[in-house]
Amino acid sequence: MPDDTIPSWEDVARLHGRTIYNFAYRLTGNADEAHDLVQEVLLRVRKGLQAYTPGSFEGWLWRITRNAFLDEVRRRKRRPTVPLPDGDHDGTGSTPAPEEVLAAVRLSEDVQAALLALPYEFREAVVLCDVVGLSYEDIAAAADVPIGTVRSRIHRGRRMLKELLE
Amino acid sequence: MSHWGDRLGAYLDGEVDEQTRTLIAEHLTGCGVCRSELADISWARSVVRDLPIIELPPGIVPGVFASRRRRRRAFRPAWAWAASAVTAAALTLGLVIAPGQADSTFELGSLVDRHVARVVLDPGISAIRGPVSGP
Repeated sequence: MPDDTIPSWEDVARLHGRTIYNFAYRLTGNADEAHDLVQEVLLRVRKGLQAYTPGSFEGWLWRITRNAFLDEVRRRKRRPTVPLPDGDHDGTGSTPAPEEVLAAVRLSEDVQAALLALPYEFREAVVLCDVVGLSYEDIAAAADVPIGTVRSRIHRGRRMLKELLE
Repeated sequence: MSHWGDRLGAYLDGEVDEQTRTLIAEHLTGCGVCRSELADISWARSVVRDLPIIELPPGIVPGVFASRRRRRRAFRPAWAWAASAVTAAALTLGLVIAPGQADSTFELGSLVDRHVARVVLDPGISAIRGPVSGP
């Protein structure tokens, strides 16, 4: 999306709703919390769009998302829960063999559990990079930290994941 | 020989400049420590990237509209509640007093149409439904 274009609220919901949901789900491992976060972010985006000045839209959107997430975490004041069973996932596309599905589910549950075991800063950096697909620059803008900090958090987060999953 | 540490992750992600990329690539040919580190973080990166993408559950966006309407309703002035009560009472009376009259359905349809028109014309509600214009 060009930097001088202000998207409509509907565009944001359509283009980014699923990514925001996946971001929240991977950070919390909880579908209800992810659901609530998407709604809260879309409400904040709708309000904020009226004052938005063209610039880094991704940075702006993910700063809102991150702040909404942290506000929600503070509000709930409890630790993230374990992932939901595989029935919660909405499968799409072709249907692989049952043993492949089981293996993939086990691995994805292990990865999700490992993500939840990371300290928040590292988890957030890894999820924004590898789930959301943001550049280091946009992650730095969203988290309001220098790019060197982003680089360090992503690297250390991946290193911790590797150790947790061994 | 010093190692590249967290720059290896940036190298993997294409987040280093061309000169650094060349230096790291040359370094990797002769450094088993950095090769092993790169392999480890590359594996961790791939398992996260391979996590299934979860589809947005249906109803989230309509839910946002609903919550906006709930908020509006919470701040509805007393006269608006009174007007709604009068309308509801009139409608009920109309249906009770003249059951079976051919035009009672028409009156109900008309009320609904008027309500829809009011919703569409209400600047607050139409702003929720309509596209957002920039400043």
